[in-house]
Amino acid sequence: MVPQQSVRGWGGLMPSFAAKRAEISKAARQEIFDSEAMPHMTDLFRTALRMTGDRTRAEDAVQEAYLQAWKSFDRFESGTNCRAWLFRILFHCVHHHRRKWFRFPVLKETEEFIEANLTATEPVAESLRDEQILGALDQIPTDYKSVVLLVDIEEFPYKEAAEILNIPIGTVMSRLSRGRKLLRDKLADTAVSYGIIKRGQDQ
Amino acid sequence: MNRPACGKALIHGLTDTFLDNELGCDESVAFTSHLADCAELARMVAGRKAMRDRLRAAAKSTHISPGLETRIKARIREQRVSGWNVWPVFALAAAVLLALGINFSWRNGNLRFTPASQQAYIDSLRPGLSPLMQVGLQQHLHCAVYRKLTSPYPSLEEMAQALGPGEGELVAAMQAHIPANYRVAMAHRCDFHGREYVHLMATDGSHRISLLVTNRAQGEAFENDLKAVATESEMSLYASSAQRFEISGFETRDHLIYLVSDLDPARNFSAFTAMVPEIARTIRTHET
Repeated sequence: MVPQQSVRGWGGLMPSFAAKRAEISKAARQEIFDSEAMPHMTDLFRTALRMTGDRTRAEDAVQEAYLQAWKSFDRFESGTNCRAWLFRILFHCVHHHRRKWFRFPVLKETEEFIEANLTATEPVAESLRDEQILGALDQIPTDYKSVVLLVDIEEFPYKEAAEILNIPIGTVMSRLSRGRKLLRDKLADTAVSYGIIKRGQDQ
Repeated sequence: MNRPACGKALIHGLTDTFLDNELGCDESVAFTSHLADCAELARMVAGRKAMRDRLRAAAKSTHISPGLETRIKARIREQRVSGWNVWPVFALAAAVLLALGINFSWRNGNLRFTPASQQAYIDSLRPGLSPLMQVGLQQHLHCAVYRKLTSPYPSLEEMAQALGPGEGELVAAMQAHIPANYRVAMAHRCDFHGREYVHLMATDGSHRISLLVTNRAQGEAFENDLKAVATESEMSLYASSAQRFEISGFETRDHLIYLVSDLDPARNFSAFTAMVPEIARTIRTHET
């Protein structure tokens, strides 16, 4: 079992440069924040939307993430991975709100890595519409969906995904395998239900 | 679970990790080497990649609300004001208010915990007051304002008895004419700066009213320094103010009588006027 990572603050991904920050004016700070952080808003919103399933909640989560980021912007070093830092804050906000918004099922992680990766289910994704694909993604339990979103859609390396979610890298890998398998199964079910493929073709 | 025909299940199981570009060097070499020879693995890689690309494209088709960026920037601007400017200003304002409050309270005679600081306050009120009005005010401050009352208060009868015949009657007279929510809480004889006093004090819990009677020395008269503000029962009544205190006084043949309080001027003088006839009669009875 991979040991649990220690919990770190927002500065975990970024070294603190508070002294350097203190030298810059508030206006300059705002300017840096706008140029470093704001361009990632669409990525954050896309992920928040998939995590919450609701545009208003997603907007709230993104807004809160940016406010938190602004408060602790002193800990961010210009030129380093602002995107990963923002995602880490976003997931904290989403998980914080998720407790009051939802009661997600928590699945026991007993999957075998090879089993998850050797399923023969390879649905013809090109035949599915965007909303059907996203609908299948939305049905995956949150813990698995988080890593699929970060790695498959946002293209974070495992290490950064682990830091963003504050979980061991081994957990990222196992959840990713399980999440992808669940997604393939859901997509296959969707393809069958829309008559895109017949039952049996997906096996 | 379908085992690959080539029997390389472990290699096939690394497909996603390969696509994630997370394979170690040895694994990567093994995987790409097998990929070149295994059509089944090539199909698997192509299928997984296609599905991943399709998923990414679907997710990225999500459009953000047009006003979100503006709203976020507006909230951040609010935080710039509240988070960076208002709190230090608020803290400074609170410190200034606290300092002003302490200063105000100090100047009003509060927070004086030592005899020296209490006397300094008494002395600070003297300028502008006639000498006889100073007599009443300083005794009120010394013996009523800076005194801790014992609780529960003695009964009116006990206080009257303690003062003895004559002066004891002042207890009932004062209680009858002070505002309804006040109660005579102390009555005793005391001396301060060489004068002897009969001192009665009433309180409502926060404010204090003193009725003071002291001997009149040769030549002492309010009219020496003050003009009467009213007459009651053919006696001239005098009134002065010092800071938050109101001092009313009159004199009999042998005595100076004061009512000192921090009531507003009208209430203090009204209570005084009401009790003057009875108090004057009581005191005159014993001026033989």
